[in-house]
Amino acid sequence: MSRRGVLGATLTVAAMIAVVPLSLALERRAPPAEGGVGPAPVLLRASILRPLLLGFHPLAADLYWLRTIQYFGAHLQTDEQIPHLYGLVDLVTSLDPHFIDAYQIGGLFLAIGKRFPEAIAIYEKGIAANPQRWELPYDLGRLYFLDLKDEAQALRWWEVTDRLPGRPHYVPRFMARLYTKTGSLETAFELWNAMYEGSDNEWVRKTAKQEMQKILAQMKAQTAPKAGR
Amino acid sequence: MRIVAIAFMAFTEAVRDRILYSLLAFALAMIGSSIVLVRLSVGGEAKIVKDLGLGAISLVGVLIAVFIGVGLVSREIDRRTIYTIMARPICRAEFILGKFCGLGLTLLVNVAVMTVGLLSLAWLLEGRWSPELLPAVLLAYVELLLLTAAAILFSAFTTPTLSAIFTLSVFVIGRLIGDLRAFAEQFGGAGLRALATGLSYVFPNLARFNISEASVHALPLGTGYIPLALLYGGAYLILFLAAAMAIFARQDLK
Amino acid sequence: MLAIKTEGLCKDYRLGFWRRRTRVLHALDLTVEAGETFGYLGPNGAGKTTTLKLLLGLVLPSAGRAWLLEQEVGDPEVRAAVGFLPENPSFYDYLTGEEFLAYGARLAGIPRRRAREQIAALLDQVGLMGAGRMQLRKYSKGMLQRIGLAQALLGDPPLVILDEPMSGLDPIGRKEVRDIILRLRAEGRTVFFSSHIIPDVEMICDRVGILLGGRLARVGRLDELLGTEVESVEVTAVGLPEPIVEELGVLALAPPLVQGGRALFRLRGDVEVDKLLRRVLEAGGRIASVTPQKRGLEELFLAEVRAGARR
Ligand SMILES: Nc1ncnc2c1ncn2[C@@H]1O[C@H](COP(=O)(O)OP(=O)(O)OP(=O)(O)O)[C@@H](O)[C@H]1O
Ligand SMILES: [Mg+2]
Repeated sequence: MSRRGVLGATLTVAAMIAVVPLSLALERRAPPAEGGVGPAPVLLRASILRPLLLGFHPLAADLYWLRTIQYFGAHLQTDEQIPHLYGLVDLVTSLDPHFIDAYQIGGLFLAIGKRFPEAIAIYEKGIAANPQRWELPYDLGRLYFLDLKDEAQALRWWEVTDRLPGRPHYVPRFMARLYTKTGSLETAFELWNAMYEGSDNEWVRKTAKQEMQKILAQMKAQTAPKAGR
Repeated sequence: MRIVAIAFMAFTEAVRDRILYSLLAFALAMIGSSIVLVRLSVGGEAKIVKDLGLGAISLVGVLIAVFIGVGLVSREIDRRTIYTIMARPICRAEFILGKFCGLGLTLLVNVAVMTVGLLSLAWLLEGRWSPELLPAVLLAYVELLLLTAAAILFSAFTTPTLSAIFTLSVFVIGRLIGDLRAFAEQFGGAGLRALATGLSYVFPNLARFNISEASVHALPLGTGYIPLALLYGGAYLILFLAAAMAIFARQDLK
Repeated sequence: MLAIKTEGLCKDYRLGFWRRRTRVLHALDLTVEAGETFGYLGPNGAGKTTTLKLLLGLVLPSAGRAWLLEQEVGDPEVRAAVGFLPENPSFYDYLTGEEFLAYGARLAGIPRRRAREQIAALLDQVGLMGAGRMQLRKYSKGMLQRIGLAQALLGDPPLVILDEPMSGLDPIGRKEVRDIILRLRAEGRTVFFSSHIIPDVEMICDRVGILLGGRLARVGRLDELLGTEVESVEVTAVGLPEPIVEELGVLALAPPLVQGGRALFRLRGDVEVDKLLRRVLEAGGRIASVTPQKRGLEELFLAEVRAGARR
C-alpha cells in the first residue's frame, strides 16, 4: 500500500470507529422514553432503530406489522390481553409514519381490545403525520361515536374529515344526524355498513359484518318489547 | 470508442460471471416472496410488495456494486490480463471510466429486470401500474453508481477485501450521516457537531437518494428535488472517479 | 529513425515490510534502430521485464526518459504503433481466441472489417486455425503464448516488443516464432525481444544487449561482440588406451571427456593440436573429428555473467 493508501485507510477506519461512540453518546443524551404502556416486545426505540436500518425502515415497518398481526391474532384467541399491541403499532408507525393501514387497523385492534386511550393516541399520531388523509379522523370519529358514545368528539373529528379531499359522500349525512341527535342505532349500522362497503380488506369486512348483525339484533330487541306493549 | 469497448467487455465479464445470476435470482426471490408475506398481512399489501421490491433492488444492487466493483481493476492486475490492454493506446483514465461504465451498464440491466418484476407484481395486486416508483428506482441507481465509483476508488490503492469493507462503510456512513448530523446538532457538543458536519461533506448523504418511502406512499417531493439529487450525485461521482483516476495514473501495474 | 531510445532510465521497486527502495534498473541508455531485430538477454531477475514494462508505460520510471518511435512513452498514442507480448501472458479466459483478438483490435482502433481479415490471417500464422472459436480457458500454455503473439501483431505495428516469446513452446513452436520474427525483420519492422534461449537469439538477431543486475553490461552487433577468431579446437579420438588419454590431458584446456572409447579434447591452438594428433597416431588411435570452435553467444553470456558476479 502506498503512503496515500495508508492515510486513506486510516481515515476511513477512524470514521468507522467513530460511528460507535457517536451512537452511544446519542443514546445517553436521547430524551427518556414516554412511559405508560409498559414494556413492549421491542428492543430498540424507533428513533434509534430507524437510522440504523440504513434506509430500509419501511421494510422493517412491514415486518413489525406482520408481527403485530400475529401478536394480536394469538392473544385474541387465548387470553384477550394485548398489553404490547400499542408499543408494536407505535413502532410500526414510527418506522413508516405514512403507513395508513397500520393506523387504521392498529386502531381497530386496540378498540377491539378495549384499549381506547391507546387507540385514540394512535389515530391522533396518524392524523398529525398525515393531515391530508381523511381516513384517520373519520375512523377516530367513529371510535368516539360507537365505542365511547361521545357524540361531541365524534362530530368534531367528522368536521375535520369533511374538510379533507376524497372524503366519502356519507360523512355530511352522519354529521347531520349528530346535529339532530337522532337514531343512534341507525347511524351505527350505517357506519359499519360504510366500512363494509368501503373496504376490500377481508378481515375488516368480516368485522364490520359481525357488528352490523349485532346492531340488527339490538334493533329487533328494541322494537319487539314496544310491539308487545 | 475505446471506453465503449472496455465498458462492453466489463459487462460481458459480469454477464458470464455466476455471481450476477445468483444475486439476481436472490433479488427476484425476495420480490416474489412478498406474495407470501402479503397473505400473512392484514392491510398494507401493496405497500409490502413495493417496500420489499425497492429494498431488494437497492440491497442487491449494493452487493453487486461492491463485490464486482472492487474487482473491476484489481482483478485485471492480479491476473495480469491488464498488460495486453494497457499496452494498447489507452490512457489509465479511459480504462477506469470504461470499467465504471461497464458495471454501470450491468447494474442498469439488473435494476431494470428487478423493476419490471416489481411493477408486474404490484400490477397483479393492485390492477394498475405504479409509475410513482420509478423516481425511487432512478435515485437508487444513482446511489449504486456512487458506490461503484467508491469501490473503484478504494480498489485503486488497497486490496479487494479492504476495498469491499471500505465501500460498504461508505454505504453505511452515507446512509447514516444525515441522521447522525441531526442528532449531533440536537444533543451533541461542539466537537461532535463539527465532526458530523465534516463527515457529511466527505461522505455523500446517501439517504437523499433513498426516496422509496415517499414513492410508495406517493408523497410529493420538493420541487426540483430529483434534478437536484441527480446533480448532487453527479458531483460526488466526478470526485470519486477523478480521485480513482489520479491514483491509478500514478500506479505501477505489477 | 530510432525505434527505441532510453536515457538514464531507472526503476526502483519498494520491497519488503518496510517498503525499502531497491533499484532494479540502473540508468539504462539504450537505442534500437528502426528495422533492427534486437535480442535482450540477461539472467533471471536482471530487469528485462522491468525494462519492457517501462517502455510500454505499464510501470512508471523512477528517473530517466524513454521514447518509442521518437515519441515519449508517457503518451498513450505512442502505443498505437507498438505490439506487445507480455511474459507468461494471461488473458480473459471466458473469451474465445477470436473474441479476444477482436477486443484487442477494437482497443487498437483497427476498423472492424480489417480486423476480421487480420484475425483469420494471424490465427493461421501462429498455428491456431482450429482454435479460434475455443475459450481461452481451454488453451494450453503454448497456445496461450501463440494467441499472445497473434495479438501483438494485430494492426501490423512497425515496432513489436516481445517478452520471452519462445518460452512455453515446443521445438516446432519455437521454430515458428523464429520464422515469424525473421519475416517481420524481412518486412523491415523492428523487433525487440527478451529471451533466455541463446541459440534462438544468436540465429535471428542483428544486435544484442546483455543486462546484468539491472545494468547493461554489453551491447552491440553480434559479429562485433563475438569476434571471428578461433577460440579453441575440439579433437575427438577413438581407440586410445586410458594411460595415453591421461597423458594427453595435460595438453588440453580442460580434462578430456571420455565416453565409450571416444575421448574429446579441447585445445588452445595449432601447436597443441599438432602434438596431440602425432601422439594419438603413435599410440595406435584414430582421429574421428577436428572442429575449430568460435566464441559463441552462450560463452559470451556466461563469461559476462561470471565477470558480473566478480564485480
Ligand atoms: N512488482 C515487483 N515488485 C517488486 N520487485 C519487483 C517487481 N517486479 C520485479 N521486481 C524485481 O525486479 C528485478 C527485475 O525483475 P524482472 O522481472 O525485470 O527480471 P527479468 O530479467 O525479466 O527476469 P526473468 O528472466 O526471470 O523474467 C527482480 O529483482 C525482481 O525481484
Ligand atoms: Mg522477465
